[in-house]
Amino acid sequence: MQKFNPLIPSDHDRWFDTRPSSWWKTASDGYDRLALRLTARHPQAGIRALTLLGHLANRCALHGPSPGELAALYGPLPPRLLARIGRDIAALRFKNRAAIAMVHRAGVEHLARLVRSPGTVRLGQIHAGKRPALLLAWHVGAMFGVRAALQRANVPALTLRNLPLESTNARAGALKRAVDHLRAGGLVVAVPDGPGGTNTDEVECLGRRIVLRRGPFMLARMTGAPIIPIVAAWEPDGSISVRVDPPLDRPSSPSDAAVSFDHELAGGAARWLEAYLRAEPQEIWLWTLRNFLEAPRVGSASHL
Amino acid sequence: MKAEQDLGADVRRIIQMNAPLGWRGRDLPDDLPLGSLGIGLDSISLVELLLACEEHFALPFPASLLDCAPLTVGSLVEHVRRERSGGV
Repeated sequence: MQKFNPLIPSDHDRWFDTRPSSWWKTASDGYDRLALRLTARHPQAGIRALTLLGHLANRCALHGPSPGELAALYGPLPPRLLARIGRDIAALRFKNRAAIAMVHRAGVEHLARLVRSPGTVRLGQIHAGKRPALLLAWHVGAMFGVRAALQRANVPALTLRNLPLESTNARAGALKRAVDHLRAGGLVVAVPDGPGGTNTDEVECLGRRIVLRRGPFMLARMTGAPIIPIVAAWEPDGSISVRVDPPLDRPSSPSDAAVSFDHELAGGAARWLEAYLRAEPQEIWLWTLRNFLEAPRVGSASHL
Repeated sequence: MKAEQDLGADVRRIIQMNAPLGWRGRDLPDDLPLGSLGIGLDSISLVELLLACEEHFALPFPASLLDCAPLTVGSLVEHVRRERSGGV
C-alpha cells in the first residue's frame, strides 16, 4: 500500500536542483550570487528585495501555486486572499533559495543575523532548564530558520536530520545517539518527514491521509522528552521569527503499546501542523502543497 | 562456561522479544544479522532492542555498535561479555 508523506521535499522540484550538469543549476547559481550580493551588507533589505521579485514572478504567472491549487488544499477562500497567499508562497521560495545560498556558501552564521530575539529567548529558557526536549521542526516556512535560531541563541542541539541516514544501521545509530543525548538532558531537533525510515500509521492533515516518520515519536516515548513544535518564518521586514509552542499532549496509551503510542503522538503533531498552516497558509512550501494534493483524501478508499 | 551460556541465552531471549513474530522460538546463530540482511529489524526496532539490553544488563549499548559491520547476535553477546569484563 502506497503511504504518503507529502512533507518530504520533492526530487522533482527544480528550484532546488543542484545537479552539476543541469542548465537550471547554472541559472540558479546566478540567482544565488545575486541573493548573496543583495544580503551581504543589508540582509533584511536584500530579503525584502527578493520578496518583491517573488511577488512579481507570481503576478506574471511565472511562479507559485494557482488559486485552484490553494483552494483544493485550504478550501474556498476569497479570491483576493488566495492571490495574496499565492504571491507569498512564490516569494517564500525566492527567500528560501537565498537562505540555502547563505548557509551553503557563507555558513549558518550569515543567516543567523536575520533571526529576531523573542523566539530565541524561549530557546534559551528551554536550554537553561537543563531538561531534555525534542524540538519538532517541519519543512515549512523559513528554510534553515530553526538552525539559524539555535545558532543565534547559542543553544546546542543534536539535529537528527543532519546525521547520515542512508541505511537502517545508520538511521538506528542516529536514533540511538539522539536517545542518549536526550537522556543526558540535551536538546534534539527532529523533522518527521525524512527521506527514509519507518512510517507511522496514516494520520490526518489538511483533509488528507499522510504518514510521518516514527523516529521522533519513538524518541519522545523512550525518553519521556516533551515534543515542542518549532517553526521559523520570514517576516515582512526581512527578518526571521521563531515560534516555539507549548509541548504536544502525550497520549495516555501504556508504554508497551509502542506503535499506538507513537501513532497518537504523530496524530497530535499532524493536528498541530494543520492548525499552523490554516492560520499561516503562506508558510507552506510550493512542492509540499503540491505533494499534499496528491495524498489521498480523508474518507477516500485506501490504496491497496 | 555456564555463565557464558546464560549470557548468550539472555541476549537471544531479548532479541526474540523484539523480533518479528516469525523469528519467535527459532534458533539464532551468532552470525545472524539483526537488520535487513537477517532478522529484519528496522531502525526503530534496533534501537528498542539496544535499550532493552541496556535495561536488562545495566550496561551501555552505544550507538557505535551500529557504525561498522551489520549488528549480529554474536556481536551483541560479545559486547556484553566485553563490558562485564571491564573492556579487557
